[in-house]
Amino acid sequence: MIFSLRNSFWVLAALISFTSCTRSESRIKNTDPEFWAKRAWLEKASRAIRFGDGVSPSEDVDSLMSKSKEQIIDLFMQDKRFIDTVVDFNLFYLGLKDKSFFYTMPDGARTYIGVELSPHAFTAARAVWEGKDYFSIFDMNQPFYLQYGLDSISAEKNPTNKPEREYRLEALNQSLLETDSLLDFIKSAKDHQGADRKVFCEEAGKKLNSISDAIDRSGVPFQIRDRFTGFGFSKQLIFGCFVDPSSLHFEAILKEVLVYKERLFKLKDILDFPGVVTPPKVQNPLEIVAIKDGAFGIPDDDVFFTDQTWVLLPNSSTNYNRKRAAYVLKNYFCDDLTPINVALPSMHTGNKHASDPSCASCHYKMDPMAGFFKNIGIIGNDFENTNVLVFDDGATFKNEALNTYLSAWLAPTEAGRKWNVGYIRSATDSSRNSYGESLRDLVTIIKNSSEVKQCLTKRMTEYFLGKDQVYDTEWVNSLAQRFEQAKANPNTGDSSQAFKEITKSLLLSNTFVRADPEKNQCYDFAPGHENSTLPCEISYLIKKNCVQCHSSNGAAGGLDLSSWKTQGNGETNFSYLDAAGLQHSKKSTFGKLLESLSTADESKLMPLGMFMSPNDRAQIYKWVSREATSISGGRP
Amino acid sequence: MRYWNKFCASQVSKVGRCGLAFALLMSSFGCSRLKDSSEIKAAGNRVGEFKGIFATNRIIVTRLFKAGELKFDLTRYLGGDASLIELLGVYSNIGPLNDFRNGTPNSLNMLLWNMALSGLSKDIAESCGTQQIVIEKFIRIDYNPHFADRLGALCKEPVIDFKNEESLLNFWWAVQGFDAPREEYVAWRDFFMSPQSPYAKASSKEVINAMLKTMFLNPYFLLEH
Ligand code: HEC
Ligand code: HEC
Repeated sequence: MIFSLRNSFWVLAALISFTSCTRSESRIKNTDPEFWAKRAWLEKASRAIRFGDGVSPSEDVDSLMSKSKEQIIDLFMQDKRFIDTVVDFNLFYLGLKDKSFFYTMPDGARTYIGVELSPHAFTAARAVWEGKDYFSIFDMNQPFYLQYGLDSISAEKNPTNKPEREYRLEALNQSLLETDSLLDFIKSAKDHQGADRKVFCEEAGKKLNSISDAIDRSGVPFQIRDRFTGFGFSKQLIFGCFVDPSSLHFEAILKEVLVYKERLFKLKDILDFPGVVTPPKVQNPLEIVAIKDGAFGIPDDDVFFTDQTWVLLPNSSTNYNRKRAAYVLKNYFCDDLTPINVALPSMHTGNKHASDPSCASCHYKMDPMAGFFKNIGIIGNDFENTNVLVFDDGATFKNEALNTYLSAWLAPTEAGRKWNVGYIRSATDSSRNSYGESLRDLVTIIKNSSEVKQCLTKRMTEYFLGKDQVYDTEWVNSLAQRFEQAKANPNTGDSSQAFKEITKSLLLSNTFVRADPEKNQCYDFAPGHENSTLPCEISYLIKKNCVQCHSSNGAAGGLDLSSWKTQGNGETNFSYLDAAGLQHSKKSTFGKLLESLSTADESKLMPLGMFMSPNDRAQIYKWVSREATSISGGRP
Repeated sequence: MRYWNKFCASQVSKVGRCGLAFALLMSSFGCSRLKDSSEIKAAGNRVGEFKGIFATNRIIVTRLFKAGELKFDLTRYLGGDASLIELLGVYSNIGPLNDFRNGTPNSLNMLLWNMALSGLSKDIAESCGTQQIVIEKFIRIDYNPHFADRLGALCKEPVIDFKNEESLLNFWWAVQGFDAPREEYVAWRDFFMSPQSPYAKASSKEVINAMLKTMFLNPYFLLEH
């Protein structure tokens, strides 16, 4: 029992002593256990699909109860609250679920703060509703969701009481004039040298502030301004001045400011956009206005993270993007970086931590993953080809220091690729790994990896059935097959169908109907599952990776991993016989198992001479170490 | 930033009050669950943790009040301190990603839950004979007809008709739904229908107050399962 409810906790709650008193069973209709069980399922399914809302007293419960569970799920999925559930799941999957997401304004309108953390979560949820591609959750090309309208213009700001639109337009025109003035200034300053450049930077800074003040006066909020004009404004100018005025590159600055001016000009169009003048009061994620496909000339930004997420996962000059790498591995690949020693290639990896075995256990896969972010600086700005990198903590690298920084990801010359950047499955066999260079490459890898689909399915399982309940891996992977099929039909909406079908399977599962499941027991199995005496948490993985050499009719090293039972010495264990044919103690068995899974000596690493995925290894390893630590007082 | 402000501003200026003395008495029961619950947390499982303040608020609104009701806010019973929300089980991004905070029952958050739900039970019991709850004297929220009907059936003297449990069962369903297994209902029913029950001679308001409190504080109501 996970928590013992049978002792009628509520009695204690009222501080009254329980007076036992048995009564005859109820004569009232509808108290038969079958009715009660289905009605309980109905309630739970309603809450799971309809964003926490149970069946309301105003619904036709009798009619619902007369339908099959499948029909009920289909019906509930046609309820718009299902979109909220998918958004909520998506944010959970991406590790961004936050209480404020649930916030409803006093007038009943919802604020969808999550959209600023992850437009992906919303795009994919809308896709499920509209029968489009659920895998858009991985796309970098995201629409701009308009959460806020124009700020109101106070009477104080506008003493002559000009019509509002006119007032705003004047302010934006003013910002254009200020930009022209900046452009003239830059042209005239082209020849400034040495100390003059400091003066130049001060003057340019003032002009920048004037531009920004004028936009503020117009009431266009910063979220919209930034999306129209780009956060960086002119990276060359801002970071050049910030880091080293002598490095300013005037041609490049001119080019950037001209682009900026063009975008600023387009910003005027937004003043007439209905969704910005009076932002609709949204009740569900479908109603959030989306600006997309280059409307208003807004370029489709590449959004891997949003400004808010970059800030949540900051990088520093010493962190080398490891926080982000750990995030990606954990959320997309379900790799929680369990430290397990790895066999390393003899050649030097070029990275100091990756060559010390105890550090390598995490860093061998984390550091190459971090490399996808190598050019990203402060608040997600891409500094590629700028010769400078400003970090979130304000530290700055340029020239030599920058080269040294980037060289951490250089591949050894014999590798045949420039960068040691990628998703690493094996430290020794590079043919198993997926390499790339840019965030776009990372997205492609994410979209194509089976690990990601299995992980997504695992998270769905945790979301709908409970976190850290033990699930049979074969079952979860068999559900994930549906996503794998959908990959073969991109852009057909098949991935959305897959999402719904997997959700349905979960709500129809045995685990879902258990009121009080045992945490370490599995209730659902893949079709064709063969019964096993092994604990379900690892039985499939052992069968897949070990049993071909360690079974009753071929127990390599005397170890039979195909059955788990009480041995002659009274311990529940695998059969593991020493040279004399005597059963090893459980302690010694598990000591050997731990070693066999985590030795840095490749000639002893199990499965012998074969590849096993890092996630499989981590899962078996975690179980083995838990068993090993739970053995107490066992004779060696 | 703007959006955080919006959220925070909405949480301030709440006036509340609480029957602290009673709540303190009640805090003792939190301890009896503490041990096994923290073991659950150690295993990292949400089962056995609170559903959380937002989910629970939603459940109460659906079952008791008119559809789309927005005024009901359980945290009003906690004395107007917005930071207390953090103690009642919420997902929070501040700090580690995706952390469900304060989900494990402990003596402090049980005290808070108890304060909130006792306050609510009392206000509902006080509303006997009307169609709406009155919170803090000025917030009036209409019940949905279904709940008003079930409550109304019990707002009479004596509350319990010893020959007929129908109104009791209907009240249980209206508040507790079907979250708890049937045995929980049976034990609850038997307790209140027993002639030896301390509530056998109490007034209807007292009995309803106790019935509600025992339902709201039932772990099947509060915890994930
Ligand atoms: C259990 C996995 C694991 C092991 C083992 C490990 N690391 Fe790390 N390391 C991490 C993670 C995760 C981060 C990113 C932490 C963050 O920024 O949130 C990190 C970050 C770092 C950083 C960057 C710190 C900074 O400035 O922000 C350094 C340096 C580092 N590790 C060195 C080492 C060394 C040296 C060892 C061996 C002694 C080691 N690590 C072993 C997981 C590991
Ligand atoms: C390709 C065949 C093969 C596979 C697959 C395999 N092993 Fe082994 N294993 C062996 C052989 C052969 C030995 C004996 C080595 C020796 O005696 O030196 C062995 C020995 C062991 C030992 C040590 C026994 C001892 O007394 O030294 C352990 C523990 C072990 N394996 C665990 C595993 C685990 C766990 C898996 C699955 C993850 C696995 N093996 C998969 C072939 C395999």
